[in-house]
Parts: sequence; C-alpha cells; structure tokens
Amino acid sequence: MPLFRPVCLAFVLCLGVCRAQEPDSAKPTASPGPAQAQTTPTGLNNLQGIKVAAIEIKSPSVEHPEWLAPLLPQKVNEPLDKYQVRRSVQVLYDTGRFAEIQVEAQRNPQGEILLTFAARENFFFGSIRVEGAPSPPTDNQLVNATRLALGEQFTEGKIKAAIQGIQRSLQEDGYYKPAIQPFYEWDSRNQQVKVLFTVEAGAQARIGAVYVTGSPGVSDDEVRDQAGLHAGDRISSARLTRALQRLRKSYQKNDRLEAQVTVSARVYHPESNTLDYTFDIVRGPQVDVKLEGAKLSRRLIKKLVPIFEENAVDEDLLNEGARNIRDYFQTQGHFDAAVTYTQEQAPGSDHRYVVYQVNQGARSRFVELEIRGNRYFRLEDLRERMAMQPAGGLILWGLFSQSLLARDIQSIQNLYQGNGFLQVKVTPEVQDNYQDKGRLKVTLTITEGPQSKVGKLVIEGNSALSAEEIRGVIAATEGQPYSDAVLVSDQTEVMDAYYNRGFSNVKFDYSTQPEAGDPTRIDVTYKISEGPEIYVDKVLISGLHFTRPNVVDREMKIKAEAPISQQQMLDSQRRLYDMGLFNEVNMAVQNPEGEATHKNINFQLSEAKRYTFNYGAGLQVQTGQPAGTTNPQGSTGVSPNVSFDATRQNFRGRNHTVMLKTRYGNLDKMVLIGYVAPRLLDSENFFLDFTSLYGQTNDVKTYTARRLEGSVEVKHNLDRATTLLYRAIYRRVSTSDLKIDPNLVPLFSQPVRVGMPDFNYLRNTRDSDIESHKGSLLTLDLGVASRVFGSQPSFVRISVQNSSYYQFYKRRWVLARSTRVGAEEPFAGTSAAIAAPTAPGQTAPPPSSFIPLPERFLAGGSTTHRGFGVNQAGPRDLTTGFQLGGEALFLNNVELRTPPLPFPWVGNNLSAVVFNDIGNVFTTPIDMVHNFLRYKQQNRASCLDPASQSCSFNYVSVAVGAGIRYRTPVGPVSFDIGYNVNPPAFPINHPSDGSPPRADVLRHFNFFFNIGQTF
Amino acid sequence: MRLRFQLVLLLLALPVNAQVVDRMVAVVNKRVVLESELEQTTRVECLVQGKTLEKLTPADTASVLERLIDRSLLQQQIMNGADLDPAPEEVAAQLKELRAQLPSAANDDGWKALLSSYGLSQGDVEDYFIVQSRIMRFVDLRFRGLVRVDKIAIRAYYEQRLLPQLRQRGAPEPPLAEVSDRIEKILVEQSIDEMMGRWLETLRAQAHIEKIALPGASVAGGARP
Repeated sequence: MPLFRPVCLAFVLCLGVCRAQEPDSAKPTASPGPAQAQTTPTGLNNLQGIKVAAIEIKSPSVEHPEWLAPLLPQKVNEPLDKYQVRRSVQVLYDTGRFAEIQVEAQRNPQGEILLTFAARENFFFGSIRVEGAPSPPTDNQLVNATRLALGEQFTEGKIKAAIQGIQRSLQEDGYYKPAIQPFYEWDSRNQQVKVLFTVEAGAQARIGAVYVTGSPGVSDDEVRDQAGLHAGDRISSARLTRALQRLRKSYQKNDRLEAQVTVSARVYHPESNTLDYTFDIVRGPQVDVKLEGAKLSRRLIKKLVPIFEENAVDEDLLNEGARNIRDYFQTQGHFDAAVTYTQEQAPGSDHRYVVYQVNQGARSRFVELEIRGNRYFRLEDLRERMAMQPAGGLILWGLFSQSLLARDIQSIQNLYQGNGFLQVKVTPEVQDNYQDKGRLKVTLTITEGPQSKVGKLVIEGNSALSAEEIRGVIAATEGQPYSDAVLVSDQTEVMDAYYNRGFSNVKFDYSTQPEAGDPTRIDVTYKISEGPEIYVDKVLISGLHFTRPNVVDREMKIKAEAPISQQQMLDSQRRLYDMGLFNEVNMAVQNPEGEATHKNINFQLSEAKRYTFNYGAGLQVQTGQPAGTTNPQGSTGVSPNVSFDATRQNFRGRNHTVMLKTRYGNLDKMVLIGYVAPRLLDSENFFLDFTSLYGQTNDVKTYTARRLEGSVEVKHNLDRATTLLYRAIYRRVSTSDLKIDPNLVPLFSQPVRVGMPDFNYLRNTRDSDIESHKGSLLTLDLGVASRVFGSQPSFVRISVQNSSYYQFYKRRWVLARSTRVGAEEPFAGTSAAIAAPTAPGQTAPPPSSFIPLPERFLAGGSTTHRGFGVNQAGPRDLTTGFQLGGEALFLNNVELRTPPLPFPWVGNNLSAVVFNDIGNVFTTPIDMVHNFLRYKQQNRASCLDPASQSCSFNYVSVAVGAGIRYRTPVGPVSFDIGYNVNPPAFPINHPSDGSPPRADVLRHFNFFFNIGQTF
Repeated sequence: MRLRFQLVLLLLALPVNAQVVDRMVAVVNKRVVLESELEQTTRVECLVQGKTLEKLTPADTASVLERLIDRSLLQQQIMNGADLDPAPEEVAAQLKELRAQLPSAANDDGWKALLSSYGLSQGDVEDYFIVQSRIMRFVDLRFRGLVRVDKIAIRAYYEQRLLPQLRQRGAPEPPLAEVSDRIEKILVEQSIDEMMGRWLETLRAQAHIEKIALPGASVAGGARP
C-alpha cells in the first residue's frame, strides 16, 4: 500500500480520505455498535428474501404487460432478490418506453409481497408539423429546420433546439421577429406527442447597407451592382445566393479562378428592421491556362482542366487536368502523348500562368485488340466489359489511352476474381508500328490461374430462419466458384432477410478456410447472431384530414403484432405514394433506440391538394393533315392544340378521382368527364372507371365527327402482365362537314347510336411501355354492337395486335415487330335499322357499307402505316376522293432500332430506326383475305381514269423508311420519313371545287414528327 | 356514531396501500441508479470507514451518489467485466482484512450482529469489494503502461516532501536508494490518479447524467404532458 492513496481513485472507490492519508488511521476510531432503530434499512433492502406472490407493471401506456413480464429477472413465486429487482428496473428502463420507474410493494394476508413496477411513460414524436410559414421558407422547409425526427423521444431540449432551427431558417429569408409557438397533442396510450409549431413570421427585413472588405479589385458600388443588392431590397436567401453566384461568376469570367467571395457578417438592426451585409472578397490572381505543343479550343481546355469547374487551383486539380489532356490526345490517336505542366507567378504579380506542355507524339491508329489466354470466359464476354475499341466505323482512330487500358485490365481482373480466379493476372503489351507505321496493337495476356470453389458451406447461429431458407437467398453454393464479392453480397442478403423478419440487431460474420489437401476448395462459415425479434405493437397514422382511415389501412402491408419488416414498411410507403393522395409519406419506428420487443410504427402523411389543374399546348407536324375540301390527300402542316384538365382527387375521402379533361385543336376537340375508382369491391385487382365525353374529330379528312359517349369500364389485373377490360360503351356519333357525296353514300352521314359491350385482353411483358427493348404485347379486342344493347347498327368488331421486341448484338440493337389485324361484320339486318334516304332513284349501298363511318377502321400515320398520311389508307369515295375507312385492317411493322449514335453534343440520347410498314385498310374482311398477298393495286388503270366508277383499294401497301429518336424523359421524340412503294391511285369524279374530274395518286413520301415510338 | 363505525369498517376493509420501496435517483447513460442501491452503498461505506449510521448526513449521501455516478461511468467503459473480477479468495482476503480492522467483528456472531446493525448481508459487502477490485484493475490496466517516472522526479519527491515530513516527526531519514522504489510507486499512483481524474471529467462531460430528485423536490428532466 503506498504512503499516499490517490485522492480521485479513492473517491470513486470510496476509500475514506482520512484512512488514505495515513494507513494506520484507517482503523475505526470507535467500534461501531449495533445501529439504532431509525437506522434500519428501509424499502427494498428490507424486503430481501420474502416471497413475491405477484408482479404488476403499471403505466398508462402498458396495454400488454405480458410482453414485458418475461423480460424481468425477478420472477413470481420466488423470494425477492433486491439485485434482481434492480435489474428488472434496468430492463424496463432499457426498453426505452419509460422515463421513470418506481417499485411498490404490498403485503398480502399470507405475508407475501405483491410487487408493482409503476412507470411514467416516455413520449415520442408522432407527427411534426409547421403552420404559417411565409413561403419561402415553406412549411416543409421549416419542418426540416427543426431537425426533429419522427419516432424519436420527446424532450424539452429538442423542442428548444427545434425553435432555434426554425428561427435560423426564417432569418435566412429576413424574418427576424417571428413568433413561434409549439402546441402539443399528447397521447399517453400510444406514447406519442404530435407537435405543431405555429409561426407568425412578422415583417420581412430589408437590406440596410452592403459593405465590402478584402481586395475586390473594383469599387464597392460596382460590387453592389454586380451582386444586385441594394438598400431597401427585401432580404431573401435566394437573393443572397444569386448575389454570391453573380459575384463569383464575374470573377471567374475574368479568370480569377481562386476568387473567394463570402458573407462575413450580417448585422440586424431591430429598430429599423434592416440587415447589413458585409461581403469579404479576395479576388486572387488571374489564372492564365495555356497549352504548348498542341492546340485545343478554350471550351475544351475548360472542360478538361477541372480548375475552371472547381473554382480553385491546386496540384491535384492541375494533375487531373494533365491526365485529362493526355487521355484526350490518346483518344485522338496520339497514343504516346505526354503532358506536363508548370506554374509561374512573379512575386507581387496579379497573374499566375499555368502552362501545359503537350508532347503529342506520332498519331497512330488502334487497329487491333488481341486477348489471349482466356479459357473460362468467351471473348465477347470480356469485350463487352471493355472501353478500349479498335478503329472502325465512326471511330476513326480507335479508343485507347493508358487510363482506358488500366480500367479494362481492372474490369477483366474483377470479372475473373468474381468467379473464383483469385490469382488471375492480365498482362498488357502495346505494340507501336504494328505491321506498318502508325498502327497500334494491344495484346492482353490473361493468366487465369486455378479456380477456387466453395468447399463446405456451414451456417451457424440461425434459428428463426432455417438453413434452407438462408440458402435460398444466398449465392454461395458448395462446388460453385468462390469469390469475396459473393460473400459480401450474401451478407447483405442474409441481413436483409433477417431485417424483414424483425431482427433489427442481427449480426453476420463469415470466415473462410482452405480445405486441407485441396487449397482450391475453400470452406466457408457464415456466423449469424440473430438478436431479439422485434414486433409491431401498433401502426400509428397521422395527418389524415380528408382521407378515410380505412383507405390508408388497406394499403398497409405492415400489421400489428407481426415482426417489424423493413420491406413491408417500404411497400406500405410505396403503396401510399402510389395512391396519389399524399405529397409526403414519412415513416419511422417509434423508440428506435429502446430495447422493447414491441414497437409502434409511425406514419406521418401529408395530403396532397385535392384539386389539380393542368393546362398545356402542343403541336403535331406531319403530312396528310386536313386541307379543305379540295385536297383529299391533305397537306403537310402543323396541328396546334391546347388542353385544360381539372382533377379532384380524394373524392369523398377515398382514393377515387373525378376529372374533367378538355382539348381544343385543329384535329380534335373534346370534353371528358370521368370517375375512377381504383379498388372495386375492395380488391386491388379491379378498377372501375366511368367516362362520358363529347368529342369532335377532324383528323379524318372525309368528315367531321361529333361523338357523345358514355362508358363504364372494369379493369381486372390478372397478374402483373395480364389485364382484362370489360366495357360497356354507349355513343351517338354524327357526321357533318361531309366531304364525300352524301347522295351517293347517304348512310354515312346519318347520326347513329352505338351500344356495345366490349372485352379486351391485354398481355404486356415489355420492359418499358414508352421505349421497349424486349418482351411482347398482345391485345385482343372484341365488341358487339347490337339492338339488344340499344345500338342502331348491329355489328361485331374484333381486332388483335401482337408486338414483340428482340435485343441482339451485345443487347444494344433492337428488332421490333408488330402485327395488327382487325375485322368488322354487320349482322341482324343493320341496313334496315338506319333510315335509308328516300330520294327517288337512290339505291341502298351494299351491306358492307352499313357500319357507320366513325366506327370503321382507319390507318395511316406515325403509329400505324408510315407510307400514308394521317388516316389516308384504305377505300375512298370516288366522287370526292376522300377516304371512307374500311371493315378490315391488316398492318405489319418491322423496325430496326440502333443503339445510341456517337454524335457530339447529344450524349447517349440520339438513335436511329429503319422500318418497313406493310398493310392497308380493306373494304371487307373477305376482301382482306382474298387480297392478302396482293402487292399491286388491282386494275390500277381504271383507278387512274378520272371518270371511272370503280377502283379497288384492296391490296397490301408497302413502305420503307428511316427515322431518328431523341430520348427525353417523356419518351423519345421521333422524326420519321416513310416512302410508300406502291401508293394507291384513285379517281375524283366530281371534285368539290367544281374543277374537272381528275385522278390522283397518294404521295410516295410522308414524314412525321411526334413523341413516342411507333409501337 | 353509527356512521362513524361504518366508516371505520370501510377503512379496515380497504386493502393496505402499496408502499414505494424503491425509485430511481439518477440515470447515467441509460444506467439506472436506484435509491436502494444508494442506501446500500452508503451503509457499506459507513461500515468500511467505521462510521456509525447516526452520523450520516445528506451531504454524505450526495457524495456517495456522485461516487456511484463515477463508478457507473467507469463500469460502462469496461468491455468484459468478468476478466477483471477478483477470485473468491481475494474477496475473502479483503473481507478478512476488513474484519480485522473492526474489533466487534472478530468472531462470527459479532460480525453478523455488526452487519445486521448496518442492515447489510455479507454478500452486500462482497459485492462492493468485487466492484471495487474490478474498477481498480481496469484503471490500472488502462493507465499504468502510460506512466513514466524519472529519477529527477523521485529525488524531488524525496527531498521536498518525504524528508520534511520525517524531520517534522523526528523519524530517522532513510537513504534515497532505500525508499526509491516506494517513492516511484507513489508517483506512479499519483500520475494514474491525475490521468483518471481528467478522464472522468471527459466522461462526465460526454455523458448524459440525469439526477432525479426524491419526492418533495421538484422533478428534473423527463417529459410530462
């Protein structure tokens, strides 16, 4: 024992100071005698050893004490152990649910103890809202400024910090005198508190003065002008950001790349509600970047040397610039290019010179890339991972540089190592002047080495998930190639599987050991420490004002008393977003740090505006547009249109939507009122849709159709790819502004009422509906219009479309094809159903003509047959030359879509197509069958006779063409030119303008400018 | 009269109210310190220091609470306490040493009576020694390797502190070589103590320490609706 006992340690360990100073004096001065009565222990220390008859856990928040009781070390019917009782208090405290716990005891008549743990609950944030934000900052920005997190424990300190955060955020926008008041809604049962901060922002401060310090190089007034800040302007963060950007840009423009512009002080004057800014500006030297030994445009230098982008000059950035310049020259064929740089700045000078010395070397063509030694992987597998590319096509010099070579070697090594070849080596050899001067060959020699495979795979420590379940999610398998990457990915997979079963504290570790006697086989052991399983207590939803709670409940994948699953939480969040009723869906586990076995889940929802209004304008440019009564082919033109839509979401508290859509344009005018109920009979797979519309279409040049339509539609999603549509359509269509001769084809001009149940089968396995690369689309549409359904004409309509998409050549090219066949057939004496004209001498048209004009098939245009203008295909009225549509349709489109074209400026967004469209609209289905292989217009000479009374259009028209596609977020913008190989000829017996009869041939060339792919 | 009788009967029929037997007095980084623990530690310390319980003051209790908080902070730094636990023989030796210092604990009956008078069991005292040993070992492990004492410091201690004390007592003055090792140990202990003092300050500054006032005082911390 040392002479001096350290005081601090003695204090902690309670070694009496007097005893510590002098060991001999440690002995008690007087032997303590038995303590007096008042010194007997009280409370828990006095109950040691007495039998505990019952244990109760008492708190307003404890609805299920049975979830907590098993955690307590002190058990019922056992003697009270004060140490176990203390541990029990600690266990309850560790759950995080309680702020304070006290132990109460009561004796029963048998002298046993009834033990009660009385706890005061903690509160957690159940929702965090702000109202009254001046915008900017918005309510949401102020919520973020509070830095409060949903589900976390409430403390007064956090509220104070939150108010300070709101104040700071408001000050950024000039609100220096806000009144911020927190309001609480306490919920003991669910241990949550909903916090609402009300904000009264007060008057917005204005700029008092703008001071400038440092070395701006210009007058203070010039700085103020450049910044755009003037006394009296309102304070706003956006204004200040713009000011800083302007100042920095102005210095950058003058090559002062190291200019530092900061706001060094803001002084608020409450008496005048003004704020003074002080800008500290150090403009730095003018940096002059030059190239010696080569020429590059200034734009390219700025792109390659990152000092311009980073607004700083240092060795790292200058070195990166040198590498970028070297790589640029190497990709231009100067494979031996070397770039160094020097910096110069004379003392006291305002200029710094950065000079890049470029030694371009000779220019070569990268003519050959040879890869040797690969046995496990095919050459194609390796090449598709490589960036180096020999010269060919648009790549004149080949793609080669030292950094590309290093990157490709690394890619190959990663590929091999990921497949068990842990000792793989890739040795490059670059041959200049290969076979001839200026030709470069690169040879990569791969030494694969032995392939390691997984030996024994042992899984330890799992009990909630069986070994089979774990093996189902992992990639490592006995006998399969071994790689570290697989083990790391297995770790993620296994942990995710556990997270989704409520094991949020799961730990995963793996170890490997080469098998004795066979070092290429590696035994793998996965060690899992599951930790406790955490369950959902309740799902607490806040933020519903208009939405009915059951509408939200049914979207919840996470349910009470089930294990907390991350995946289910995310699914629930996604489904709530998908409803479109909520702007924001925040979710969190309540009491995240507590060790409770059951936890509440908070969802804080922010309802979206129920009314949305959209308006827009667009235009189509194409051939074949309506062009008056004298031009049956239409003309090339532009069709502008405007639209206005109003949508009422969250109708009656459900995710039902009522909408009004209007369109007004040259080609069509429409008013639509719709009602959409996404869940019919509470099933996710059924959608109900009511629509009524009034439309007027002019896109068919023959007439103007007015359509009044009502429909009800039930959509049934069979699975992810398959959808059935059951529709009942009732419409009245009338035509006016008829270009064809009403005396000759009178029935076309009659108003007609069509009632039609319709069935549609849709199977869609395409990877993307907007721009498909693979998969297929099959649609079958069957409708029957009959008097039974209130229809005037009776006819059957069937149409089938099948499209498929194939990727080939490194999956970069796409071959797309589509076939459409449609047929209509009148029945049940349709001719009698519609009053025929009674003018003497008129004869009834053939039965096939009785299907009303707007119900007939039409084709031609960017989405059907690019050999025709819009809706120009098919039979025509020989009197006026305008198209009539037909009762049968056949179209076949084949399109070859290229990968992105390597053009400058457009990135990977521009691609091209070549296509072949064949098909036509036929008079009747029989005509389609009989003329399916006819590629020339029948009796064309008769069609070219202006006075001819007969002309057949029943043949297959062929078009070839090409187009380009520019990718945009809303789909590709497309421009196509189609060449019709065999356009139809037709007579015009009585042109509308009174000119002599003539014959016409549809134009060979048509072009289309549109958004979206053809199919 | 009849009404009073009925009231008395009613009161007798009511179950006896539960008594609060323990409550939290502090939380140190989520580690709860209970009133019973504070009382028990206070009593053990009194026993070890030879203080009678009658002389116990609220300041003593507050001082014990501070020590419990420090002890808790240090225990939270110990990753694996079992490795640092003393062997049963060591605990028994410490117990024996304590009893040797307490005349009334010479025989077993006296020891039991003494423990009983303090409201303690032998297990309570043993538990106290175990915690004490664990912390001492941990502190030793953590800091002893960091301490270096040079000869100048030893000579300075010898000349400036030890010799004046001995001269004051009139005790003989041993040569430096004879007491050099003992002085080195003292200086090492002092250095360890200084380092631990600084460390404890840091731990306290970083820790969340909440002291909960006993009934009658205003409640600190926590949140109530």
